[in-house]
Amino acid sequence: MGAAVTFDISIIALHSHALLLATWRTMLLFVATAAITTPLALAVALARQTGGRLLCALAATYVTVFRLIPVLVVLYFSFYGLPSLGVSLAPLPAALVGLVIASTAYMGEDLRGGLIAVPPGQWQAARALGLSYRQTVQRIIIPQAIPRMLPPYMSRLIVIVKSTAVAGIVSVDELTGASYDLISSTYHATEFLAASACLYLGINGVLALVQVLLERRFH
Amino acid sequence: MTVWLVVCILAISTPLSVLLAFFMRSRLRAVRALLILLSAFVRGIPPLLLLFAAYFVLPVAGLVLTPVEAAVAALSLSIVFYFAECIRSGLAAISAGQHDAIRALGLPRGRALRRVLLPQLLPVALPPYVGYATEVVKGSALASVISVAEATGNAYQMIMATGKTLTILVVLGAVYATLDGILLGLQALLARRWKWALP
Repeated sequence: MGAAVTFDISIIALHSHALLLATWRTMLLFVATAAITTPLALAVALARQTGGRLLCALAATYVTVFRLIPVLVVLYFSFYGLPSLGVSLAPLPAALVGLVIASTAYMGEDLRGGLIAVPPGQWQAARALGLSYRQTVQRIIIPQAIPRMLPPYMSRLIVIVKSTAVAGIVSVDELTGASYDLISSTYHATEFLAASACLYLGINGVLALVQVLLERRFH
Repeated sequence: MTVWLVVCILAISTPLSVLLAFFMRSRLRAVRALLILLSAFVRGIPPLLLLFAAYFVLPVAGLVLTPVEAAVAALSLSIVFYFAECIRSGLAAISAGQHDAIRALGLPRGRALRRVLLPQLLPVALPPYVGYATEVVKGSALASVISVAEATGNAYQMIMATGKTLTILVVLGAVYATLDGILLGLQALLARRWKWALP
């Protein structure tokens, strides 16, 4: 029975500390990416909707280019490419920069969808009432756009969780990278891949739950 | 190699997703529930992890795949449920009355499919389908991790050999942008030909 599938759960318990540490890094990377990406993406979306011609064209070019390039290639750029421009970053910040650059392009489009859904009359009315740009966006446009933005925004957060796995390739010790190392040193692939799949599903499950709760609150 | 990977993945996952989409509309509740659960499960796992699973776990189960086969299998699995969701939404857009009308007119199945169902299905399903097809192009870069010599893997070797990091990465980015551009261009062409509103 050489080809029998073995599943040794004790090996996971043995390395649970390393796996939990890696999960922590994955969550850290995800939270940092989401926290930086969200305001940037909103800025990109606003630039495309309300910016002048130059700003709009710049934002549109940025979004188009980075939505056509694989995340892995963007990460190679921030990890291997930036040092040749004179900026050397540790693996984790380099991965963060790459993930933010890539995710901002996608999320910018998601948020723009919500902005488009607000009727243009709202902008004109706010202007007629003498509200500043900042007040208009903060008090009039965003509150109306949130219900439309929420589902694509939450889906994008789940995509970001999954894209943090790519950081494992540029030597960040997050969940996928750590699983790969554990597989190489123990040869127990099934156990570690199953464990990390469950951990990812756990993180994404929490996000899906948050989405349900938020949607209930905003409707 | 990148193009070959993408063609293989699309050729496998497209018909499979049509099948899945039909089963997701099955009359049996258990089948529907099972597929929806499976869909959520697969879509919640990073493609890279699926890739490792195909490469490391399948051999343990006695199924030894070459890196290319493992990459095609894993990346097909990671995208097939996204495709199935597109097609399902397309099918949902066709009202039940259309099926009754086809029967009332006595249209043969083949002609009904070609003249009535597809023209209504494609405008809804094609734009998201092409969107996910560009995800396949970009996702194929991950195959380099399990030593498939596709565009990103080769570029990585070239960077390590020559040290001309930026030049190579810019060219690599342009290659992917071109491949995705071809897909998006095809979609625009079809949309214009059949006079649908552009996405």
